[in-house]
Amino acid sequence: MNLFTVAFAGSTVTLLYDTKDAREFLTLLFRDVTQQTSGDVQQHQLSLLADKGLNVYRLQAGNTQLCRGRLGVRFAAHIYDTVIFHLLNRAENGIALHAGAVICNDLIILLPGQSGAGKSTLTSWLTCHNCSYLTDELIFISIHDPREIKYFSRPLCLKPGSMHLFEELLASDKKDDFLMDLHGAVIPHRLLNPEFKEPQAPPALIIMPDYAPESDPEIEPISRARLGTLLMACHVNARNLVDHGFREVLDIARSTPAVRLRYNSLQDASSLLDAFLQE
Amino acid sequence: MDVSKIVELKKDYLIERIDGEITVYHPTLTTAVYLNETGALIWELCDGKRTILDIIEALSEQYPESRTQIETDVKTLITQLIERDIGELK
Repeated sequence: MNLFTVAFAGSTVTLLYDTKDAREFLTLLFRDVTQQTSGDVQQHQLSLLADKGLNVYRLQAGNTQLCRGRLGVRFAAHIYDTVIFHLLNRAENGIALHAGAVICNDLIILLPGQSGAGKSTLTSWLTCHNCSYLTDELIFISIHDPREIKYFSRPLCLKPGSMHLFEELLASDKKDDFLMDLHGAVIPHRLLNPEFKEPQAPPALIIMPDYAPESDPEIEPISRARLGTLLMACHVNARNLVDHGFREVLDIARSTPAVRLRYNSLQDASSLLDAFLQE
Repeated sequence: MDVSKIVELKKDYLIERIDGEITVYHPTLTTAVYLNETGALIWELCDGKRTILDIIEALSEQYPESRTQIETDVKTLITQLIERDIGELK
C-alpha cells in the first residue's frame, strides 16, 4: 500500500492506494495543489482501492465505501468533494470560500458562488481569454492576514458545456496529460500555467456570477453590505469560526470592489465580460 | 398583514452597518440578510416595542410624500424577515 498526501488550509488528507493507475490518477488530481502544512495539522485518511480483476475503484473512509467507479471525470468529482470536505472540516485559521479565481492584467479576480451560480464556467471562459487560472473551486483567506490567500490550485474541471472553450488543447497530442470523458474534462494546472507562482497581492475585484435563465444579462456594481451577504453564502467553514467568521467576511467585502454578473448563457456572459474587462 | 402587531427580532443576530446599509447574519439559523438604506431604516425601528403601524407612521412623518411606498416597503421587509425566521409578529 502506498501513500499520497494532499495538504491545504492547515489540514492534510492522506490517500492510500494500491495500483499504478491510482497513483497516476491522484497525481493528476492533486499534483499542483498548494502544499500548505504549517502550524497545527489536522489529518484524515482515505483509501483508493482497486477491485481485483475489474477496472473499477473504491474510495473508502476506513471500511466505509464512499463511492465506486472508473477513474474518470465523475469519480474525480467525488474525490474532490470528499478530500475538500476533510481538508476544511476542522479548518479554523482562515475563511474558506467557494470561489473561482484568475489573474487578468496582473489583477486578481475572485468569482465566488454556490453550486450552479456559474463560477466554474466563467473561470473557464476567463482562463481561455488571456487570464491566468488560479482555481475553479476554493480559496482560503488567512484569518490573521486577509492579504494572505491560498488558492486550491486543482486542475480546471470542465463540464461538457464548457469543453468547446479548450477545443484546441483537448484535441492536441497532450492527451496523456489531462483527463477527458463523457462527463467533462480535467485539465491540470501546470498545463495552463507552466510557470505558475502563487500571487501575493490581495484581490482587485470580485465578480459574483448569477446564472439566471429567465433574466436579461447585465453587469452591475454591488454595494459592500450586499456583497457581505452574498459572500456569507459561499463561506464553507463558517461553523469552525467565532461568529462564523462574519466580521472577517465583511472585512473582505469592505475592501474589495464587486460587481454582479447576471447572465442566461455563456455567450451573453462572454460579451458582457469582454466589454467590462476592456474598460 | 396585521399592522397592529409588533415585530420581534430573534436574539443573537450579528449586524454590520456599511454605507447606510446593513448585513444581518444569524449564526444559529445560518441566515444572512441584506438591507438597503430603506431596509436599514425599517430595521432600526423594529425595536420590539413599535407595531408595524408605528413603524409606517414614523417613516411617513419623515417622508410624507412617500407613504404608500413606505407601507409597501415595510410590509415587504417584515415578510422577508419572518420568512427567514429572523423576526416574528407578536
